Amino acid sequence: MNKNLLLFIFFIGISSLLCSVKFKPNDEIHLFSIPENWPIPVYDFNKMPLDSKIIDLGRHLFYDPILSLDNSVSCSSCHLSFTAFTHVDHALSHGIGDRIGTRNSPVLINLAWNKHFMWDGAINHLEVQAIAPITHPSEMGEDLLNVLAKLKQSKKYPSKFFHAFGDSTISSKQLLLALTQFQLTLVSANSKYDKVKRKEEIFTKQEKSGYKLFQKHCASCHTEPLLTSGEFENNGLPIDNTLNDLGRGKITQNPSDNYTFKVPTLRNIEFSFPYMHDGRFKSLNEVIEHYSSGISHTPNLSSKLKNGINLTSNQKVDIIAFLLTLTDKEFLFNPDYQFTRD
Amino acid sequence: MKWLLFPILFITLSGIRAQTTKDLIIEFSIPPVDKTIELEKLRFYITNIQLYSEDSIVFEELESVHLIDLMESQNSISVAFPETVGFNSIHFNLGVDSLTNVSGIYSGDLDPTKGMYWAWQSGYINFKLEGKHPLSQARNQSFQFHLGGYLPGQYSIQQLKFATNNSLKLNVQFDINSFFETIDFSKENTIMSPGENAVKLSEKIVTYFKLNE
Repeated sequence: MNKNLLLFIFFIGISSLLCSVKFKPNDEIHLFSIPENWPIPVYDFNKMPLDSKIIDLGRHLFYDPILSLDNSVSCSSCHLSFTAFTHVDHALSHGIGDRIGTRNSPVLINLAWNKHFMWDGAINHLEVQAIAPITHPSEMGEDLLNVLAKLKQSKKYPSKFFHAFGDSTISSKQLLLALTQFQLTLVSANSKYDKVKRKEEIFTKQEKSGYKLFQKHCASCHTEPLLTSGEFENNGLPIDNTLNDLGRGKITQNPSDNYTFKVPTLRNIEFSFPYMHDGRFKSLNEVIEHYSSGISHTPNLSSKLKNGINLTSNQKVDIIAFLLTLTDKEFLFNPDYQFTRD
Repeated sequence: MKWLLFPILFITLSGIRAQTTKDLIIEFSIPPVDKTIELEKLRFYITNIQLYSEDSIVFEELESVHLIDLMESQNSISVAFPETVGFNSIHFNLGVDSLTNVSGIYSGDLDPTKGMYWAWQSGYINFKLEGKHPLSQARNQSFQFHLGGYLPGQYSIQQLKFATNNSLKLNVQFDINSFFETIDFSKENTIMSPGENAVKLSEKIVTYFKLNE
């Protein structure tokens, strides 16, 4: 045979082999992509590329109360897709048996860019995050081994796990990776704000004024484009003596972290009420009012808030008009994020 | 002639694989415990096993994580290393390193269902000791030491180094009785989270691991 032809076949073979290793599912690009001008995600996708079958399994698990002790509460109970995956209308979220926790459930948005999870950053990686709510007595109150046993006994899951991972052992690693992969797909990057940034739409005069005020007064913590720095700050909330929540300080045991909480993203804030780690504010008006006249000088108050934020009543309305441009209807009503039977 | 590369590469790789190895067995044990003390759990992680010749590292075990459970007689580690390697000391960690602690989910001995993972605050429990002691003021005279932590100020991972001359079997004993003698169980009986107390106790515990000659 022709030597060149042999060489050609050899290279084709090698390159197809390489491709198949690196891009396991062909649709990886559609499953997750980094929006234009966004930073590189914190989550390392090289460890295990997204796979539509694993995502599908994660989606089923996310909506399944089988993960809770009495099969009554699922992830979605506190993280509802239509409300930016938070527990709408509950200041403090509740779990099984109406047990009330101590914090407001956070939104699940753009988690691939999160360094820390939970309001106090107690969880250090998305893959291990779900262990906390599954096993917490006031949330799902379950034991991981028991969850695995229930999944193994179910009609549905052995084949779903086999389909996703190529074996039906149903391990905790597989369970958690599936939940992780589904949550990684929850990317919100199509709000009016994003479209304005991409020059597809323009702000109204009021929104534009609000955006300028936002950039001046808010963006140092709610950094663009994720609308959060991911860091911990004390934003001057008066201390609630019934909760006495030290926030990050409880985790690091460093007094200089007391009363600091993770800066939340403002994306879809229109739908993620109530606000703050304990859900104390029901409306955006109350939130803006807090920053302009309610700052309490508690230990470790963010240096950026020492003097509060002085705003006229018109400016307050303008900022809220801007905040509403962070609503991403495609994200909130994305059918791929919702409960599915099959 | 380039196509010849492939078989050559294959042969070379198989050659590496075929290299003969020896097994180093490390066994962990405790001496008989005073009858007034009841032991319920004694588990710990041994990680990052390295063999040294003088001051230089001559072998490092890959994915070196071993969960030892002395109540369930899961007490021995077998380390395969190349026959040609000579060593006169062995180093390993008591506990799971920081990088592993922040790198997501693992299976095997690091599976979070092994009872050595803190759910509410990410991180591995490096050393778990539970039981009953007559002097303990806690409920049911119990004591629980769950030691771990990888953050600055909470770093509780400890290193163990033993001199040994190419020995293929090592018996490491945790001198638990001497350790118990240093504890005032009426005051010190429960540690369940990372922090200063966990660090102090971890630093103490590691000094009671001795090589049985």
